[in-house]
Amino acid sequence: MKETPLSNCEKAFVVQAIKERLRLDGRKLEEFRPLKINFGAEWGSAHVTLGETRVLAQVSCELGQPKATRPNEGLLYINVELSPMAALHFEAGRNSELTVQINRILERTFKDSRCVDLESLCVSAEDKVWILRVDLNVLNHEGNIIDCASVAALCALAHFKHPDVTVTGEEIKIHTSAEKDPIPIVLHHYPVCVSYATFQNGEVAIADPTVIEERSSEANMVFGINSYRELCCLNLGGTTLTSSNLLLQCSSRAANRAKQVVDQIKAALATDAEARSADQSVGFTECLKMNTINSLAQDRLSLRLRRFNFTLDDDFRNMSSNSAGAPDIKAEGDDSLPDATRIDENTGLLNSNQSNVRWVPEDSSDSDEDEHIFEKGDESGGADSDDKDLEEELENVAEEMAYKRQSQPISKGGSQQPVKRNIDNSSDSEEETTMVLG
Amino acid sequence: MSAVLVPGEAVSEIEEVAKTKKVVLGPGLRRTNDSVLACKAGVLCKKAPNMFWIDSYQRRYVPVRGECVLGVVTQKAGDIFRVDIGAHEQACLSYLAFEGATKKNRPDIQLGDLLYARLVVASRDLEPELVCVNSHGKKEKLGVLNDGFVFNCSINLVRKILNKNCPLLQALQREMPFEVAVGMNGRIWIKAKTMRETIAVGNAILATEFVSNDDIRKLCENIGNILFT
Repeated sequence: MKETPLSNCEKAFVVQAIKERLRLDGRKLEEFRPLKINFGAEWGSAHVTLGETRVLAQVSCELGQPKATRPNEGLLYINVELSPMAALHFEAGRNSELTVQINRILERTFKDSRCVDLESLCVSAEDKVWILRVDLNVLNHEGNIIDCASVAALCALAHFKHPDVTVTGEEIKIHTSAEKDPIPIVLHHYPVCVSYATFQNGEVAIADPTVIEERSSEANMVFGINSYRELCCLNLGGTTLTSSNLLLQCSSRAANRAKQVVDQIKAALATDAEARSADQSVGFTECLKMNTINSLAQDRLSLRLRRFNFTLDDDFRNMSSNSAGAPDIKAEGDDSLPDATRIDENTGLLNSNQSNVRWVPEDSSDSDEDEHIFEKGDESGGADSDDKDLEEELENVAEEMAYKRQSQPISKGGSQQPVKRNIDNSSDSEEETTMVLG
Repeated sequence: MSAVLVPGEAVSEIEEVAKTKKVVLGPGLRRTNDSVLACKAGVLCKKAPNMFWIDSYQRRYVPVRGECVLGVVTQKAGDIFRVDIGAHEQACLSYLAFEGATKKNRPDIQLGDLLYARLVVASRDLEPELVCVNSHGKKEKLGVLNDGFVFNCSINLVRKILNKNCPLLQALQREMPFEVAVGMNGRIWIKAKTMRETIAVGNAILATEFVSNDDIRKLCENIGNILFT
């Protein structure tokens, strides 16, 4: 089935709205949709939603022959599936251009950046190594598959444990989880992808584009970036070139975002590990019971005003503002909601584990300021203050860029910048932000 | 009168009525021999004395003759335009089906244009056919829609806002001036003075879906308050 055509007026409207610094779903230009992470009962299965886009990831492993060139390293395969379930125009079992592109970006982010310690997957050199396979199934496509898929892949890899083996002479025995505890995979660093779509001849970039924004944009940028602000992959696609200045600004914001996302992933992993150690039942069925996974859980208004909070968003916003200590913004007449929407509110409320963390544009690199920005993001509304915010933001970023350019040389122009990390000193130190460009 | 039916279920209630008088079966109901079966999941509705149909939640459009729909021109093929109306098949629209169009004087229509048109042929075996004129050759409100924004919604929402008892459009026009074209195929085109107002209208319409008639007024007031504060 063909993709629904985009009419001229939709396209023109999106472009014009971006020009006026408005987005159809009421986000700021720099705002991301809420990210939700759930883990399955199996090791290495993760379900990630970014707004309405959702991806299911499952890692599996088997013993196999290593490559002749690298006899003591395991193998990692990443496989993205776009089925008609995600969107009607995707064909099943056929490798579309988009599939290949997403696959390649993810491979660059995870394989080429050497984030997985493949040497630890070696059982006996030249003979048997663990072959990891990450299967990513896109369950719903509402734009920005790549970000969602990268988070899902990272969650699944970080969650996965492969069985222990003992080698006695020629014989290899694989232990069940009852005999010996399975072994987690060693990750040197946590890379995620952060996408932007550019408008106005590459002058404006918006974060986390939805389908309609993706389709009416001129170009898109994908940054594969890890929590230490190191660039693993950069993909520029589309028709227009972007300015080096914008690229630098976006990379800096992407780095902040990556850090937030990785923190969220780590928190989700910790919660899951805690639940498992406390012998609570975990898994997707449990999530369904708890209402943390639901179909089209977020409010489904594709068009909304920034401060629209008549229905679902109400409790959501109150919760996040309470946690940040900001004053409540209450709409008139919110007491008179019918029961039907109350239920929805509850589901929104139960999601709160992660999803009430609203990503607001963060333009400073130190996380100490988080709370301050949180408040700012919560209180501000309306077009006027948005503009002001943005100006401030841009100024901050400009300052920051000037500072960062001294410490962080990012060369522009190239379409791909693989980063070779020195694995020996891949310690956890935050300060280590130097980059070696390949 | 609110039995919930699933596809394949026999509706004995209608069969009872059918014993004494003729009945009219609407969408979602089907007669096989002497029994009436539901072919959609939904709520059984009745209009006295003898009309029955099933009200179901649906997003897929099935063309019906005489309905007005919004479509996007996808192809210009000789004498006809192909228009995507969200149905199983693309609809066709003759270039002569516009007001004042002749063989010499073709309407100016580009690929990707949004059209408001009426279905004149909607049979399950034939390609749906559209016209942009009424039977007197006048265009009325039909034709190309410029600017504004179009979005998709469920068929139920379209029916709800077109219902005479629905206060949405009245309540909303009290807040701001706007234009709207509602296609029965689950697409709504809106245009207001500014981008922000257009988004506000769209927001109000989409939020209406699960709100009762009484609350629609409050919803619109709320939208108005947000817009002007």
